[in-house]
Amino acid sequence: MSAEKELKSLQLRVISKILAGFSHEMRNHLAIIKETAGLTEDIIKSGGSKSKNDLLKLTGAIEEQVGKAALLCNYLGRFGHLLENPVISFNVNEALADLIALISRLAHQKRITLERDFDRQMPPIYGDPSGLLLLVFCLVEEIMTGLDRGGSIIIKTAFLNNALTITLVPKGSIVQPAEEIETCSAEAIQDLLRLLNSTISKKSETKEAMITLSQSITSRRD
Amino acid sequence: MAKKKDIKVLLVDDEQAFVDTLSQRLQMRDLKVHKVYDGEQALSFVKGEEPDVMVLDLKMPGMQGMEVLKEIRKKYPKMQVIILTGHGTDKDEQEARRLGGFDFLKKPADIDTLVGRIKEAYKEKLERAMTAITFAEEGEFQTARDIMEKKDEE
Repeated sequence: MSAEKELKSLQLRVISKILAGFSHEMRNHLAIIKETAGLTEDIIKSGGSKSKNDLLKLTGAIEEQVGKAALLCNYLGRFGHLLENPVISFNVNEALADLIALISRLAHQKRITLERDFDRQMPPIYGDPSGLLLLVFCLVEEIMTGLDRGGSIIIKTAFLNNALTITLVPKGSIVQPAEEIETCSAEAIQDLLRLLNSTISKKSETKEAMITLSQSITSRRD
Repeated sequence: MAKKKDIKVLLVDDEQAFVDTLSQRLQMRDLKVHKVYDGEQALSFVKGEEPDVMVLDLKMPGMQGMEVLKEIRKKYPKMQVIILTGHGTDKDEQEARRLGGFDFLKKPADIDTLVGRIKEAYKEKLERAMTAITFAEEGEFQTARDIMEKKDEE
């Protein structure tokens, strides 16, 4: 398969995973809303002794859950828009925050938390958000397979000397991967690095990974 | 005749708000409900008190629902397991049924459908026990054991 086809195929696999996670999360929100609305109805129909405040608590819980579901839709919407254009000016921190929100359930199932430590002075970046997000997804997934339960991954961004760096710092016990990495092959990661004209350095002991992009991505303060 | 209160149900799901609300609704429908929030807690609970029906999520932190189902089938063959999940692929459903799950429902599920399936699962459990007794009375102990362990369906 050519590098271009390989990348397209990888992009589809990552998007499929994200959509499956989104659908799972959304079904959970809908299930909570349905059960809470159902419980409110059950209480009203039974004519039981619940107070007005108890019922208001239930309607408040429904509101809260709708808010969470809407927020998740926002993340997916922004993520989708970022993938529409191959090269655009975008905010790296926001793009990563959306990605983290969308894949946090994957991490949660492995009892791993994803944390952020973003450079607040990050300028807008002109480049390929799709390739960058694919690369970060692949590296986060790779680290997760080798990180024990209860661990965390800190995703750091920095912009120094006209170069953007994204560092993934695992915290917790490193273990022998229990499963094969499902989504991204080493070749696919190399293809992405070439596409982004970027480099990666990994520490074998701590599994820390640092992506540096200095040529294909430039800051634009417009 | 068994009353619904006789049916012991264990809810296993990591979505705490979901489990807490659903358990209240099932209790209002006269089922005896216990709840836990992950697979490890579920296996620990059944060591002390065996429910008739387990309502089990598939994707949870730590031990996954499919692993719990395998353990239950192996160690507690009389217990019925209904999968209730937000992650319902056809492949998951086939696998859950192959492993002996009684039914496979997707979230959000209708409460009357869920209660109906719990009652059906309980009824099947009782029928299996009665059939096994009949075989045992005729001295066919292996057949009786196979029925109790659902080996006839494998």
